[in-house]
Amino acid sequence: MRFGENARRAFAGSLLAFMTTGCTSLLERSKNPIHFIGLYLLDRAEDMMEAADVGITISEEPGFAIYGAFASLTPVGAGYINGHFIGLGGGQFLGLPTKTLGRTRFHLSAVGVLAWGYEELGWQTFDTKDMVTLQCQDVGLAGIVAAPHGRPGPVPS
Amino acid sequence: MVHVGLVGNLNYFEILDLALGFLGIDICGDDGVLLGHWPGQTPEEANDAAWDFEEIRRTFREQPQSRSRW
Repeated sequence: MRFGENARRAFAGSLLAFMTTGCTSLLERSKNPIHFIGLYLLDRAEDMMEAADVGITISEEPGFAIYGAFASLTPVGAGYINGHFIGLGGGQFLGLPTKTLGRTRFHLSAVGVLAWGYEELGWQTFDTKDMVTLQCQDVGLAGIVAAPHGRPGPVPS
Repeated sequence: MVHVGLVGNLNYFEILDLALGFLGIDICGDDGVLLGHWPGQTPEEANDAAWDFEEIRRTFREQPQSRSRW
């Protein structure tokens, strides 16, 4: 009985997630069944590469960042970096999907005072003066109730 | 001179997006595009919000310059 109840809850949760979020756009993008499978696998590979950011940053202009946030709830510190990233991050690995093999462009502006924080990230192709090309978000407890600014970054992270 | 830093970050929501992606659900709205959008938003609404925020951000950034004129 308990299994059935849990299964019903899981189904209801999945249905709610499906209704309140979005379905994949595969049907609109694919041209034929083979293309559909290829895009499906490509999307999952991209999702996998977006699961973590691990690497080093290099920049010619001086930058500084000591910033951390557990699950986007405890932002502490500040930072500004405008340079390049070498590693796995932002849905790329060593610049593979881009033309800059080995590294990718990277931008970070962040500030956190525990209860509230702001993160602004740019990966690969972006313009720091064009918010449509950047990921930005409020984090911390205040960030939960703040209205979204534009394109979201990874939250929680 | 080259400046070097370390980055380490785990994206919990993207991990969920990967798991649900196998079921055809795209909670991050980032399938096939470089940048996603918030749940409940269309990409167009996300762009509108970004443009609105750009105005606020520009005002905030230019504030010290306008003060220095005085």
